[in-house]
Parts: sequence; C-alpha cells; structure tokens
Amino acid sequence: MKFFEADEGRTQIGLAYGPGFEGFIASNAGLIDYVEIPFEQLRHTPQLGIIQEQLPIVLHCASLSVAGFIAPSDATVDALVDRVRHTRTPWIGEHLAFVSADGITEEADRDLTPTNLTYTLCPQLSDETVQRVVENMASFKDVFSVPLILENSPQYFPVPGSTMNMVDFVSEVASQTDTGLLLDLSHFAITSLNTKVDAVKEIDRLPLERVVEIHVSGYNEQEGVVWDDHAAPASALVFDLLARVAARARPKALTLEYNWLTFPTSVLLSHIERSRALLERV
Amino acid sequence: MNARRVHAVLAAGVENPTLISGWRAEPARLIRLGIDPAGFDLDAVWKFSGLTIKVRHNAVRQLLPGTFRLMTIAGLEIGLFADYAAFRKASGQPYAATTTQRTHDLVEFITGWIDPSVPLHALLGDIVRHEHALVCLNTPPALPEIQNDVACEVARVVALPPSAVPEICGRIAIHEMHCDPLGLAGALRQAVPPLADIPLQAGYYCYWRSNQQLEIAVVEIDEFGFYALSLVDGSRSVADLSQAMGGRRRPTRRFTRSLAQLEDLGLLTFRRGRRVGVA
Repeated sequence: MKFFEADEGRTQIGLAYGPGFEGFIASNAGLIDYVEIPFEQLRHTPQLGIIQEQLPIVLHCASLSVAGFIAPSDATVDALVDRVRHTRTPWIGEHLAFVSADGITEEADRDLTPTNLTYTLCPQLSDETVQRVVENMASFKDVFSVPLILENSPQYFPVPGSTMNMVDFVSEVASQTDTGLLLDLSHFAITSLNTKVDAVKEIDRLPLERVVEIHVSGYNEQEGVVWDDHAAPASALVFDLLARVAARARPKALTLEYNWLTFPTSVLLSHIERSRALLERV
Repeated sequence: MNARRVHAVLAAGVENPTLISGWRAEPARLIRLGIDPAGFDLDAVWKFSGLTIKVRHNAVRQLLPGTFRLMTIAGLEIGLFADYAAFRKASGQPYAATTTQRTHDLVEFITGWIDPSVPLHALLGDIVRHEHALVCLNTPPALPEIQNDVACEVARVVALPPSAVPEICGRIAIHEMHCDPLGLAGALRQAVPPLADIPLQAGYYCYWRSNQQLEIAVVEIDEFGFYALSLVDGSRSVADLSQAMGGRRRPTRRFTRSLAQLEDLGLLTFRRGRRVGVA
C-alpha cells in the first residue's frame, strides 16, 4: 500500500479518479504522485481502494456540509473516520459549502425533514455563515486524525442575504479558524467571471500561504452563466492564476480534476507538464 | 436574511425545480418563506438545478460521449438538464439506479425535448439515437426498437411466396436521421467539431448486430427498407407486410424484389409460412 508523504521541496501532482484512470496510469507510470478520490465514491465502492497498491490516496469529501446548519449523520462521520484511517490521507479536502438544509413547508405533502442534495451549494456569504463554519470546524476538530482543509465554492448566482464576496468570505473563515485551504482555481475563475470581478487581482487578496492543495479543471459558459465542467480542459485564465499562486505559495499538492476523460490524453499530459513547470519554476 | 432560512429555500428549489416555477408565478410565496424575491435569481437557481442533474448523469457520459459533447458545444446542457430535473420531479420519477436505465430514460427525454426544426437540436436528436442504438445492441436484454434474435441458417426462399415470413437476422434498431450519423459522430471526436459543415439531409439507417459478427454495422437503407423492417416482427408474412404498407396482399414483383435485397444484405431471412389467402 502506498501512502501520501508530503515533500516540502515540491508540490506533488495528482489526478482525480474517474473512468479511464487505471489505463492512464498503466501507460504513464510514475507521472503522477497520487490519486484523489471522493470519500463518497470510496464508501459506495470500497473495492476502489485497491488502487492504493499503486498510488497514495488523497480524500476529497462533500458530505460534511461545513457551511450548513444541518450536521452530517453519525454514520457518515464514522465512515469518513474509517476511510481516513485506511487510506492515511494527509488531509480531507471538504467543500466550503452546504449539502443539507432544513426542509420547508412549501409542499403540502412534505414534512420538515431536511433536504439532502447530491451536490454542494455555495452558502450565503455572511458573518452568520462564517460563524457557523467556525462552529462546525470546531466540532470536527477532535473527530478526524488529519486536518480538514476547505475548498472555495463556485458561485453561480448571488445568494440572498450575502454581505461579502467570495474572497472576503474565504479569508474571514481562514482568519477565524486554523484551517488550510483547498484552492480550486476553476471555481475561483468561475466565481470571478460570474460576479464580474478581476480574478487576477482578487486572488492576491486570498491568504495564499494557507493553500495546501490546488484543484485545476475546466468550465464552460452556457445560458449566460459560467459553469464548472470537469470534462473540459482548464482555461488560460486558470493557468494564469496558478502562476500567480505559485509565485507566492508552495502548496503540498495539485490535483487535476479531469475525472471524465473525454478529451484527448495529450491534453491531460500537457496540463500535467504545464502545472509541474509552473510550480517548479519558483 | 437569515442564512439558515436562505439555505433551506435554496436547497428546496434546487431539489425540486417545480417549486421555482411556482415562486416565479407567485413571488408572495417566497416572502412567506422569509425570502425577498428581488434578491433571488430564480432563473439562475433553475439552471443550477440542471447542473446538479447533469453531474448525476456523469456515468452516462461514457455511453453517450458524442451526445454530451454536442450538448456542451451547442450550449444546451444546462437548459436541457434543468428541464429534465423539473420533468422528473413533476412526474414523481426518481432517477434510475443503473447507468443503463438512466441512459434509456435520458435518451427518451432528449428525443422528446428537441425541436427538430432547429439544426443543432436535429443533430442532437441524431447523435443521441445513434449512440443509444449502439448501447442497446451491445446490451443483452431485449429493448425497445430491437427485433428478435433468429438464426440465419434458413435456406433462401427463391421465389419468396406471400406466405413466407421474414425475420430479422440478429438484432436491429432503425432510425430516420437528419444527417449521416457516422459522419456526425466522427466530427464530434475532433478537437473543434465542424458542425456547420455537416449536411442536413434525411436518411434511413439500420443498426444491425448479426448473429455472426460482434461488431454493429450501420447500414444506410431506403425508405422502403425502413418501413418494411419496422413491420417485421417474426409473425407477419410477406402478404401481411405488403398490405400493411398500402399494397395488395398479393405483393408486386417490385415489392418482393425489394424485400429480397434486404435478404441479400443479410438483414432478413425468410421461413416458409402456411399458405395465406392473397385475394
């Protein structure tokens, strides 16, 4: 079994798990340092863990709802604790978002059981939510044996009641907790484009020294909104942002989140090379 | 606005987009929920629900790669999946547990959703039916549009009497297309698919998996072949087919010659039937 060991001298490059992954690493042995797998996928398909015979696993997660008001079930938390122990992931990359919320009484035939989504939502960007994140992070502090690091959400529309923008929100969470950051550069670009702010200027306002892991993937514009798209290659803007981050920080890991390999392998190879070059140039 | 309440309303709308339609029509409902409608971009939330459902269909991407590629290129993905989310919710149908069934359900929705008078929609309709036909013929159980398996060892009936019963040799799916589906699939594999260069010209295609070959053949057929194959069910005789296609029960020589061409292609075989009345 292989386990992730941080290398202070360099940023390790990983790939998100998806169809075609095994074939890719078979024909490109040694090219990537680790595989990132969602905890939920590993929970549902434990046999995927066999991949750890070839590569260390870094766990991603979307179940803790750290920016939400509904706590995850004990069973979910216990299962995550178990996966952390098995994989010896160096950290848990969790979304700074919510995936569960209170039920509402709009529908006559519905009670107030929580609404559980299958996709994380950008929370209200406000002091109230920051406080909630702080409380949730404190409640998880002694639960996991590795750090929880928080990933910036993509913002597609203004969330009612928000009083700050994404950079302010992430910075405020970072200042009130000791959490590291999982900086998803595609999410960052998406948020900047949708909220019409200058991404390159905005990224300089983030506490980049707290960035532990970086995500790189694609996006596309449809219906007047820029959307996350892991089947699309990263844009030039994403690589510009990566260069900007690399000039100021030395993250431990960079994951290419191309978990739907429907674009040519040559693109993936060139993006691995380009990412490595940008991170090693500094 | 209270964050907890905002999250609850947002999550409810994303999970059930039919609520969003109601809030659009009656903003007072949002006020009653503690949300100021002025600051709530319902259109964007509606579209976001489409993104969440698109992601839930990521596994289908492997079976319908060209379909997803075309939806992305044409900018149709988000709107289509948002409509699909609302459709499934309104009809009370949960998403299927298996990728194969989820694929069938999505294909059924897409084929009903498109407006064939819009060229990009027409191409989407073609590629989704093309890829679905391949999925179906690669899937063992009998599925809609697929005919029965029969052995191809029946000796040729030289004169093709009206009582002969045509049977599909293997399994097929037939489609009327707006373009050449193989050309379209090839274009969608290119880095920059030249969709504007694909000629829109109606044609009939038979996807055929014979009992002898594992590979699926895509055969362009004529209008006669399309309608004849659509009527072949292993029990209708040549006379029945002739009548069903608007002719007399005693088929014309041209009719039987056309059927024989399908036999020459290997698509049909004929077994002798009991004598039928041809009056």
